[in-house]
Amino acid sequence: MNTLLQEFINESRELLEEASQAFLHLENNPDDLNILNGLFRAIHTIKGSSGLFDIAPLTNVVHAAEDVLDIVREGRLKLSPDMVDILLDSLDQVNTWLDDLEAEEKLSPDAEEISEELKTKLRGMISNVALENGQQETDTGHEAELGSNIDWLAKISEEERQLIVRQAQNLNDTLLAITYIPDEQCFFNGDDPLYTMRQIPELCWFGIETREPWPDINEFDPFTCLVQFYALTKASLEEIKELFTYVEEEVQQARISIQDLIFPQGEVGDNEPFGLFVQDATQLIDNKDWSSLLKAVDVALEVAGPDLFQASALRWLKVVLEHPSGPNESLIKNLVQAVATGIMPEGEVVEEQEENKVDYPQEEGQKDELTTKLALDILRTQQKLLQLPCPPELWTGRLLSIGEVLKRCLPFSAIEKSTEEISALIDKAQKEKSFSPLLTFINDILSSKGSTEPEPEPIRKEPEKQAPVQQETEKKPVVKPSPPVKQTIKVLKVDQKRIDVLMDLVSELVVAKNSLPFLAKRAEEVFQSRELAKELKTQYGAINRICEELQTAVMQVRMVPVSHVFQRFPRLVRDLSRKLGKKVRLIIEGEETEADKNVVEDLAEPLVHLLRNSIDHGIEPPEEREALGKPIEGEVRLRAIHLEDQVVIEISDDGRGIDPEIVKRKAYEKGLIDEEKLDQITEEEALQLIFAPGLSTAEQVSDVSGRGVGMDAVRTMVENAGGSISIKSEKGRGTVISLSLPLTMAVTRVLMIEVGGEIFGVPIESVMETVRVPANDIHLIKNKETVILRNRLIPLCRLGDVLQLSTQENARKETEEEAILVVNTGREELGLIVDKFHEGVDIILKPLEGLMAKFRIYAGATLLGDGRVLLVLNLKELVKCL
Amino acid sequence: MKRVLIVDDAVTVRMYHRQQVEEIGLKAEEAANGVEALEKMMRDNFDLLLVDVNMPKMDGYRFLKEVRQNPDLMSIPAIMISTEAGEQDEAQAYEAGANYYLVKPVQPEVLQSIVNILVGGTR
Repeated sequence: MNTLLQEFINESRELLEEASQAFLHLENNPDDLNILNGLFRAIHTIKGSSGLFDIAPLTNVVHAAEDVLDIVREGRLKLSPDMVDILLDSLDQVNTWLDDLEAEEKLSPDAEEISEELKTKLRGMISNVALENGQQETDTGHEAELGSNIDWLAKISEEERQLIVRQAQNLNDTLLAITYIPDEQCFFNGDDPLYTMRQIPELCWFGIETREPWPDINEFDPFTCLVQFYALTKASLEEIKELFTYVEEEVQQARISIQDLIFPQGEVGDNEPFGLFVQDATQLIDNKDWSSLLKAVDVALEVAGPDLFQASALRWLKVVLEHPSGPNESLIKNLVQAVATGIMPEGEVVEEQEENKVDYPQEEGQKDELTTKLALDILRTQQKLLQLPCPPELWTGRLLSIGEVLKRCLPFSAIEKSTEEISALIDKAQKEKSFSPLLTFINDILSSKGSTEPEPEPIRKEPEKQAPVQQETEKKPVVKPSPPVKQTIKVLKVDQKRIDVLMDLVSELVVAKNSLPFLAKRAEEVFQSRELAKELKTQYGAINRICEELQTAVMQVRMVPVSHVFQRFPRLVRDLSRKLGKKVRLIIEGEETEADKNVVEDLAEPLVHLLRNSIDHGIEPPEEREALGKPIEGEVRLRAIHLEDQVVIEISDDGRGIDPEIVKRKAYEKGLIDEEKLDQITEEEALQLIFAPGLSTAEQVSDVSGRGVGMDAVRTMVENAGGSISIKSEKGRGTVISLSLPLTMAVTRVLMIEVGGEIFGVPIESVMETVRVPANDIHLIKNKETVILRNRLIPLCRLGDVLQLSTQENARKETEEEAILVVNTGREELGLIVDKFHEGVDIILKPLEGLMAKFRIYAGATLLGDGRVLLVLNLKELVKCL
Repeated sequence: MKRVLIVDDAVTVRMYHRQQVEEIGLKAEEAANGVEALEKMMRDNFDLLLVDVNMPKMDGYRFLKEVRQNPDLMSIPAIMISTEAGEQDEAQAYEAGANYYLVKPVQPEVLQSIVNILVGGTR
C-alpha cells in the first residue's frame, strides 16, 4: 500500500477517535466552544486529506458532517441527541471505509449508495436551519453537479425549449432541473406524486414518462407507480426542498443554464445546400452584423427541410439572434458550426477560458507552457493584491513579499526586466508609501502580454477531483533524503508488522541461545575440555541476560493502555441506555493500565458483550429503581488493574444481580447438573454455571434474569486469549464480573512432562499441583480411575492412552507410585497420569500450521535448546477426547 | 538548496506536499501549526511557505500576519492552500498576506510548477 494512503488512514482514525470523544463531552457541555472547535477541526482535517485520494463517497460524507458542525459552531443550530446519533453513525461509516481502504485500497462497492444516504440525513439537519433563518444556501456543493442525471433535456421538444429560452431574461440564467422517481409503492404511503409535481412554483416545463414499457394488461397492477417525472423550474432550491421534504430521497435536483437547452435535434442532412449560408454567416459574425445574419438565417430556413438537424440549428440561431438579452457571440458561432458540420460543439466555448485551462502536461514542451501560464497567473494575482486595501501594519510585508514574487516570476514569464529594476521600484514605493510604482510596472508587463484583465482563474477555482496519488508515485520512486533529526519527536509510530518481525526474531534468538548449554555439556563430555565448557557457560550467561532484556524491551514496545478499548465504551453505553430508556452512568478506572496489544484487542469483544448484559439485564428501568429506593441512575463501573503478571478487568453494576436459584433450576432442566448436585451445589457454584455452554441460549434471556446471552461465548473468547473469567453477584445489589488476562501472550511458561518417552509441555497456568500417589490409592469409581486428594475427588486419565503412546509402565505394580499432574481445565480438575515431570521453561508458542493445525489437542509447538520440538498440550481440547 | 516550509495540521497533507516538493529537488520542512512554523523560521531561513488555513494554536491567517509584520521574515512569498474555493476565503488569504491561493487537492504538476517559480528556481 502506498505510504501516503497508510498515513491518511492512521491519521484519520486518530481524528475520528478524537471526534467521537468530543461528541461525548459535548453532550455534557453543549456550549463548550473549545470542544466544538476541536471537533470541527478534526473533521475538517479528514475532509482535506481525503481529497488527495479518489474516495469521493467518503469525502462527501465528511464534508456534509463538516457543514453541519460549521453551522453548530456559529450557534445557528443546537445538536439534539438524534443529530449526534446521525453524526456518530457517519463517523462509524467513515471508520468502516478506512478499514476497507486498508484492506482493499478502495471503498466497498456500496459506498456511493451509503454515502448518498448519510449525506441526505446530514444535509437534512442543515436545510431546516437554512429555512428557519430564511438563509440562502450558498454552497454549491449542496446541489448535484450538472450532467450526470440530466440526460432527459433532449426529451423536451424543440418548441417547448425555444419557448423557455425566449421567455428567459438572460441566457446565463439558471433553472433547477428536477427528476422525481417515486417509489413503486408510494400510493400506500399516501404520496400523490402528480399533485406534488403540480405544486412546483414557477414551473417552466413538466414531463411524465413510464420507467419501462407498460406491462401486459393482465399483469398490470394499478396500485404500483410506474412513472417518473421531470420538471424545469425557476424556483429556488429551498422551495423545492421544502416541497419534496417527505420524498427527498426520491428526488434529484440539478442546476442547469438556459443555454443548456439550446441544442439542435434531427436527422443530419447533406451539408451542401448550407455551404453558402455558412460562408456568409462567418463573414457576418466577423463584422458583428447581426441583422443581416438574421435575414440570412430566414432565407436558409426557407430552403431547408424542416426535420433536418441543420434546420433545427437555424431555428435556434433565429431564437438566439432575436433574444432580448442581445446576441451571444459564442453561441451563434457554435450554432453556425452546427449548421456547417452537423455537430453542435460541446458547451460554451469562451476563448479566454480556453487559455487558462490547465491540461495535464505530458511532455516537456507542455510543462513549459504550463509554467508560463502559471507565472502569468501569479503576476495577475500580485496585480490584484496591490489593489486591495491593506492594514498599515501589514503594508511593508505585503510590498516586500510581492516584490520578491515579481523578481522570481520574471525568468518564467519571458519578460526582459532585471531584478535591479524591481528593487528600485520597491524603494520608490516605500518612499512614497504607495503601491502604485509596482502596480504600474505590472500593468505594463501584463498589457504587453495581452491580458490586462485580472480575472478569476479556473485553475484554482475547480481543482480537478482526481487522485494524483495513485500508481504514478509508485512507478517512479523518488529517492528522498532522510528527514533531519528533530528533537521534537517523542513518539514514533511504527507499523505493527515491524514489531511482530522484531518479536519473531527475538524468539528465534531465545531458542538459538538455548543451544549453548548443550554445547557446553558436549564440550565437557565429548571433547573433554572443561575450559571451553566453562567459557561457553560464561558467554551463555551474558547472552542470556541480554536476550531477556531484549525480550522485555520488545514486549514493552507492544504494550498499550487498555484505554484503547475502553474509550469506545462511553459511546456504547450512551447508545444502549438511550435505546433501552435507562439511565446509566459509566465509570472508568485504571484505563492507563497497560497490556500487550493483542491482549487489549482480544478484550474488546468480550467486554462489549458484558457491558451489554449489564445494561440490558442488570440495570433496572428508572421507575423500578426508584421503587426499590435505588438511585435512578444505574452505575456501571469498568476497572482495570495490574495483579502480578496479569491484568484484571472488572465490570460491575448495581443492578438486579443474578438469582442463583433460577440458574440452578435452569441448569437442572437443561441436564447440566443432576439431582444430587442440585441439592449440594453452593450459591457460588451455581453462579458459575451461567458460563456453562447450553445454559446460555437466547431463549433463556427473559427468565434467567437475563445474563444468559453469550456468557459461554464470552468465556471462550477470554480463555482463547489465555485468560479466565469469574463472577460474583448479589441478588438485588448487582454483579461483578472479572476477567484476568496475561499481560503478554508472547512468552508462555510450560511445565515439561514425559509420557511414553516423549516430552510434552503443559501451560503452567493450568497446573494446580504435581503429586506422586501410591498406585493402590487410585480407586475405580463408576469404572473411572479417581484419586482423593485433600478430600477432593479428582478424576484421572492416563495421558499415554489419550495420546495413544505406549507407556513404559504398562504393568503397574501395587507398590509403584503414579506421577499425577493435577490440572484445571477451566471447568473441572483433572489428574493426568504421566511417566515423569521435568522442569518448567519459558517458550514462545507458535501455533501449528498446515496439516498439523488439525490436531486441536495441541495448542502449539516450540523449539527446545537442543533443537527438539516440544508440543504443548491444549487441555481444554484434551478433555473433549476423554 | 532552496527550502520550503509546509505548514499544515494534517500529517497526510504535509506528507503529500513534502513528496511534491522533494521531487523537484527542494528541501522541505514541516510544521503542524503557526506557532511551530514561526519557531522553525526563527532558526532557519526559508524561501517559500505553503500554509494551510485551519490549524490549532495559530491558524494560517494569524500566522501569515505575524510573518508579514516581522522584519526578518516579511518578504518570504507565501502560498495559502485551503479546502475552500470561495471568493471570500481567497480574499481573506490575500488580506492576511498570501501571494497566491490554491484549493486542495492541488494537481501535483500545478503545485510543483508554482513552487518552482516562487522559490526562484530555474526554467
